Amino acid sequence: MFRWFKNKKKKGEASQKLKSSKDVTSISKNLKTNLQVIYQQIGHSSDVIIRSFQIENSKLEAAVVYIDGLADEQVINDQILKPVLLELRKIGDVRGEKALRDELKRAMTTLSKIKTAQQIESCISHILSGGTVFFVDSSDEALLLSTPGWETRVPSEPTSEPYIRGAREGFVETLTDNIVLLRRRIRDPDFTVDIYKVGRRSKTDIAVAYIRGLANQELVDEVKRRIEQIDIDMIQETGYIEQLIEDNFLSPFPQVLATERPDKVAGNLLEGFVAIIVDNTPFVLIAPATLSMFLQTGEDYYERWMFSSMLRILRILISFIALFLPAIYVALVSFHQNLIPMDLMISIAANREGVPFPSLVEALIMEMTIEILREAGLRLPKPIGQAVGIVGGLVIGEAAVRAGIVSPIMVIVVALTAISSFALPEYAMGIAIRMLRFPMMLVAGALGLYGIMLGYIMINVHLVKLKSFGIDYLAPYVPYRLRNWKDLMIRAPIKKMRQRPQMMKTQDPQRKDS
Amino acid sequence: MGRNRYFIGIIFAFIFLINAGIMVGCWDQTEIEDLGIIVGVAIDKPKTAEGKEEEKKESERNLSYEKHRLTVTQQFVVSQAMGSKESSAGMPSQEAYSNVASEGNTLFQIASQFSTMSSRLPYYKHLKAIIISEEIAKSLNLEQLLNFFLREPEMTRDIQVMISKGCARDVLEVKPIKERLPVLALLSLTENEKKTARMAEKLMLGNMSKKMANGSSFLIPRVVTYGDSVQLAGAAVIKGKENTMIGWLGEEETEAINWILGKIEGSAVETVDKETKEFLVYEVKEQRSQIKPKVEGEKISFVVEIESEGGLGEDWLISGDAFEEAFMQRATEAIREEIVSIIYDGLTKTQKEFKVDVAGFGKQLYVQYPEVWEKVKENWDEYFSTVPVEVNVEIHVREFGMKGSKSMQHE
Amino acid sequence: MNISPKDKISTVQTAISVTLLTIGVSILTVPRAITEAVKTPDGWLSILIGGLIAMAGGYLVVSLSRRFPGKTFFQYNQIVVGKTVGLLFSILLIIHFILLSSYEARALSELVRIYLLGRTPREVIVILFLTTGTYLVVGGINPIVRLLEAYFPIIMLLILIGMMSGFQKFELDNLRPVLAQGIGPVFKGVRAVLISYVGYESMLILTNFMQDPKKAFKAVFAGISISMISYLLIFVVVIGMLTVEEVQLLTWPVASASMEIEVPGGIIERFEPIFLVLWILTIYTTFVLSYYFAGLGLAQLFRKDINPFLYGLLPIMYIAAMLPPDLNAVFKMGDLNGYIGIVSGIFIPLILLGIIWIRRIGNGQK
Repeated sequence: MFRWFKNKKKKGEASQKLKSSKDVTSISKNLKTNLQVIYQQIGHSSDVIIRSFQIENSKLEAAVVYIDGLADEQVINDQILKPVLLELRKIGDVRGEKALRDELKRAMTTLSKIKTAQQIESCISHILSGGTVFFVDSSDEALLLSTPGWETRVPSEPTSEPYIRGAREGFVETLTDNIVLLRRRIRDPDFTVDIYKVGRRSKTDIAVAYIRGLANQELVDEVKRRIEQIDIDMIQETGYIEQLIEDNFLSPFPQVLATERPDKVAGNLLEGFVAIIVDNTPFVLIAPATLSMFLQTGEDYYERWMFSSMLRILRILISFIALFLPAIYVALVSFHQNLIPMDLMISIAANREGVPFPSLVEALIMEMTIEILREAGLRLPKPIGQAVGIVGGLVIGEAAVRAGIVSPIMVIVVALTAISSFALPEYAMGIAIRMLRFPMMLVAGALGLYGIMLGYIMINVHLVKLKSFGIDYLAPYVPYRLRNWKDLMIRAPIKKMRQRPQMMKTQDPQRKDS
Repeated sequence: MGRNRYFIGIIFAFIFLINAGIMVGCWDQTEIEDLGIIVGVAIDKPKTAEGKEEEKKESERNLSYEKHRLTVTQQFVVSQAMGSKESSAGMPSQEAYSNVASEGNTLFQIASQFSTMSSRLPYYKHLKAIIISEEIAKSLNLEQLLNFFLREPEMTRDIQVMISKGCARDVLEVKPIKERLPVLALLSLTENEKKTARMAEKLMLGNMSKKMANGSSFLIPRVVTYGDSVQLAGAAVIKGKENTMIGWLGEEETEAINWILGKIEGSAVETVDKETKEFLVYEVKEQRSQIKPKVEGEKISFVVEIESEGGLGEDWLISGDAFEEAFMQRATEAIREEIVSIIYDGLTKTQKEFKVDVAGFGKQLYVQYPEVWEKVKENWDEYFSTVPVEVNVEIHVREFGMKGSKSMQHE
Repeated sequence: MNISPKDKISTVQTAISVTLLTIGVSILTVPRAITEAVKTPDGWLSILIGGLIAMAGGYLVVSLSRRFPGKTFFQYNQIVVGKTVGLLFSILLIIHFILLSSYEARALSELVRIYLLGRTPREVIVILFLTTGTYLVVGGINPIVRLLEAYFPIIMLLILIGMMSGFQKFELDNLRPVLAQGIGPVFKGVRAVLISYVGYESMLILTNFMQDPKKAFKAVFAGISISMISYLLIFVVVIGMLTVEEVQLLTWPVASASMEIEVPGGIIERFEPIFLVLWILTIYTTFVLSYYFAGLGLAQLFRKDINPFLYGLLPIMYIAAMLPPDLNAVFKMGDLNGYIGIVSGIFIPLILLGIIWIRRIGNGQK
C-alpha cells in the first residue's frame, strides 16, 4: 500500500551490521574487575568519580560510579549512601544475592527509578546520561540509579513562535520535561512514547510520541523504522533527524514540521500525527507534514473562526506575494507594461528615468541587500541587530534611491516582499519561499509573465510529486478530500469539525459524535 | 529508481534556469522608461505643400496613392515632466506631452517612421483615443483605415474613436486646464454622459469593429475645437457597408437618437409652458426605450416606446406650484410634446435626409422577424427611409426637488 | 516497470482529466469555429447536440474498455482485431496524442507571441513548455492527475470570473433570433463542435487506470458535461459581447472578448494578458495528458519502460509543433487532429464493439 518501504531498505541492513559488530561485556562477580573495566573505558576523564565503600555488616565491597555534575551529588549522598550505610547496618547480615538486591532496593526507595543491568555497556551509557551505577561485590548485576543532576531550563514562552492567545510555555532542552508537557495536555492512556538512543557517540535520546489506536500504525512503524535506520555519530538538534528521515532531500520545501509549542504538538497528535522529541533541543518534529500545515498556526484554533479563516486566506496571499512580487514587478516593468494603469506607468517611467540597470538587475540588487540586512540583524546581539536592521534598511533604501541606483517603487516592492516572507507563520516555509524567489526573478527577467507561469508550473509539479511519509504534500487539497477542506483555506467553526484528517488514515476517524 | 527521478527533475530545472539565464536581456525586454507612450492619434489629410508635391509625383506613378495620403499626429507622454512634482509648483516647466506628425500612405508605415523620429520606442498599448478628421472620414472607408488598429495586438479594443470638425491635429494641441494631457482631458469629457444627452454614446474601437462587421450605420462622437477649448457634442453619421461619413448630426439630433436608443443616463430637456410662455426644465433621471417592429403583409413599420422618469429641474413660471396636481400634468404634457418633437426632428434627419438607420431598427427587425429581414437586408438603409416610425413617449415627473413652489404666487 | 497501469486514479480525477483534455486551446477558438459553420447565433444548440454525440461516443469507448479490465486500448485491440490492424489502430491513437500535444504547444506559442512576448522565438517558447511537461510526465499518471486536480478549480474559477465580467458588455439581442433559419445550420455546426469535444477518447486508456472502473460511465459523462457547460458559457458570452458577424472575423475570439472586459477599479489596465497567462495552465494540463498517453502507448507497444519513450517523444513533438508554417496551418493541424480524434473516439470503438458482438454470436451458435 505505501511505497515508502522500498527506499531505505538497503541502508537499514548496513547499519544493523555495524551495531551487531560491537562486543558486549557482562558484569563479572568480582567488583574489582568491573571497576577496572569501567575505569579503562571512561576513567581517563577526570570528572568520572568512583567511590568505593564497605557495607559494614556484611563486609561486602561496594562502589558507586557517576560523573561529577551530571549526577546530583546530594541525591547520591542522602538517598543512596546514607540509607545503604545506615539501614543495612541495622538489619544485619543479609545472605543471598537476590535478597541483598531487594534489601538494597528497599533501602533506596526514596529514589524514583531503579533498574538492574547485566552488561557493562549499559552501565556506562547510564553513567554518561547522568545516572549513578551501584556495584556490589559478588553480584553479576548492577543497579542503575536515576540521579539526574544537571541544570534544566524552566519552560518559557517560545521565542520563535509567539502567540497572542495561547499557552506561554514552550518546550525545553530536556526530553523528560518535554514529554511531561505533552502528557499534561493529553491524559489519554493511549498516549505512547517510545524512546530510542541514536548517535554512535552522542547516544541521544529520541522519543517517538503518538496516540496508540488512533495514529495509523503503518505511519508509526514507518517513523520508527526510519529512526532506527539512522546511522550517524551524533544528533545535535531535530534538524539532524529531520534531514535524515525526510523523503526528498533535493526539495526546497520542509517535509517535517518543527515546533516549540507543546499545544501544537498535542493538537497534531490527536489528528493522528507522530511527534519526534529529541533530547537537548526545544524543537519537536511533527511528521508527516503537508504544505497547508506550514500556512497555519495553532492560534488559528484559539481565535474565532471567521478571523482565523480571514488570516488563512491572507497567508495564502502573503505566500504568493513573497514568492512572486519582485518577479511580477520585473515582468511588468520590462515586458508587459500594458498591464500597468497609465498613470502608474507614467510615474514608474519617470521614477526609473536615470536608473542605469534593467529592472531585473535592480531587483536582484535590492533583494540581495535585504537578505544581507536580515542576516546581519539576526546574527548580531538583539539590540544592535534591530538597530542595524532599521538603520541599514532606511539608509540604504533612501541612499540607493537618491543615488539613482534603484527606483522608489522597487524599494516598496522589496520591502513588501520581505515583510511578507516574515509574516509566514513557519520559518522553514519562509526560507523555502525566499530561496525560490530568486529563480522566479530570473525567469521573469527572461520571459516575463510566461516565464513566471512556467516557473509556477514547475513548482507545482514538484509539489504534486512530493510526499511526506507517504502522504501527498498538497493533501488535503489534492487529491480532493472535501470534508477536510473545512480546515484548509478556511477554518470552520470547531463545532462543525467532526472528522480527523482523512489523509492520515486514522484508526479512529471520528473526532466526536455529531 | 525513485531517486533517479528526482535527479532528472533537478537536471530539468537547471536546463530551464540556464536557458532562462542565457536569454536575459534578449527579445522582448524593453524597460519601461525607454518607451514613448502614445496616448492619442489624430489622422488628417496632408496640408503642407511639400507633402502635396510628393503626393503629386507619386500619383503620377500610381493613382491609388492620392486617396491614401495621410498625416498622422501622435501624442507622446513626456514622462519626466509628468512624474516630477516640483515642476507643477509654478516653475515654467516642460510640457507633459509632445505631438509628432508624420506622413505616409499606410498607418503601419507611418508608425514605423516614428521610430526614426523619436528617441523612445513608440508604444501603442496605452493608446486611448483616435481622432479622425472630417475630410478623411468622408473620403475613406473607415474599416480600411482602422484596420491597422484592429489587427495589431498591441492595440486594445477600448480605444475611443472620435471625428473632429476641422483639423484633427488641433484637438491634440488644445492645452487643457486641469489635466496635463490633452487626450486625457478629452476622455474625461466622455465620462460626462451622465449629465448630458447631447453627445453621442462613446464609441470604442471594438464596438465600431462589431458595427462595421454587421454592415450597419452608426454614429461617432463629434469633437469640436474652439480656440482654447474642446467640446464634445453632436455626432458624425457613418453609413453602413461603405463605412464613410455622410454628414453631421447636431446636438439636438444626437439627443434624439439617444432617446431612441434608450441610452440616456441624465439630461435636461428645456420646454416652454403654453399658457405663460415661460421656461420649464425637465431633468431626466431614468430612461428606457423599446423599438417594436410591426409587419403587416409586405408593410413594415416601427413603434418606438419611450419611457422616462425624472424631475422638474427648474421652472420660470410665477404660478408654477409643483404641489398642485394640475400644474404637474400640464408641465408633463409640455415636456412630452417637446421630447416627441426633438425625436421626430432627429429621426427625420437621419431617416429621410441621410437615409441611414443608426438606432438599430434593423437589428430589432432581424431579431423579431428574421424571415422579413432576409428580404430587405440587402438594401436596408434605403428601405428604411420609406418606413413609417411612430414614437410614443411616456413621461413621469416624479420629483420636484427641495422647493416645490415660489413665494411670488402667494403675494 | 511502469508499463502496466498499476497506479490507480479516482473517479473524480478521471472526470477532471476528460474535461481538461477536452478544453485547452480549443475553447479559445470554438466560438469562431462554430459561427463560421452556422452563421446564426444558434451555435449553442450545436454545442448541446455535439455534447450528446460526444457522450454517446464516451459510452462506446467506456463499454469497450470495460470488457478488458486492467488493459489499455494498446494492449487489448490486438486481441480483438489481430496484430496488424491492432497495431495500426494503436499507432493512429498514438499519432493522435502526439499531434494533440504538439498542437497545444504550438498554439500556445502563437498565443504567447501575440499577447505576451512579441519577439521571443517560437522555438524557445515551445522547447521550454515541452521541457516543463517532461518534468511532470516522468512522474507517472498519479502526479499528473493530482496536478490536474489542483488546477481544475483555478480553471473553472477563471472561466466563471471571465464570464461574469463579460456580462458588463453582454447584449442579449446578439443571441437572437433563435432558429431564424431553421435547424439546418445548427447541424452544420455540429461537425465543427465535435472536433472540439475530442478528448474523451482518452477513456480508452483511463478506464483501466481507475480504482473503480464501474464508475467509468459516470466519470466520462461528468467530464463531457463539464466541458459542454464551459463551451456553452464561453460561446454565449462571447457571442453576446461581440456579435456573430464579428466573431467570424477574429483569430482568437475569446481573447478579443476578454480585451473588452474592464477591470473594476482599474487595478490593471488590461485583462487579456492575465486571462491568457492563467490559460497557460489549461493548455499545460491538456498537453501533459496527451504527452503521457502517447508515451504510454509507445511503451505498451514495445513492452518497455515508459521513461525513455517520454524523453524520445520530446524531439518528435517539437518537430511536429514546428511543422505548420503559419497560423492557418496550425488551425488545420488542429482540425485534422480533431478528425483523427473522432475516428478513434467513435469509429474505432464501433468497429471493435461490432467485432466483439459478432464473435459472441458465433460463440452462441456453437
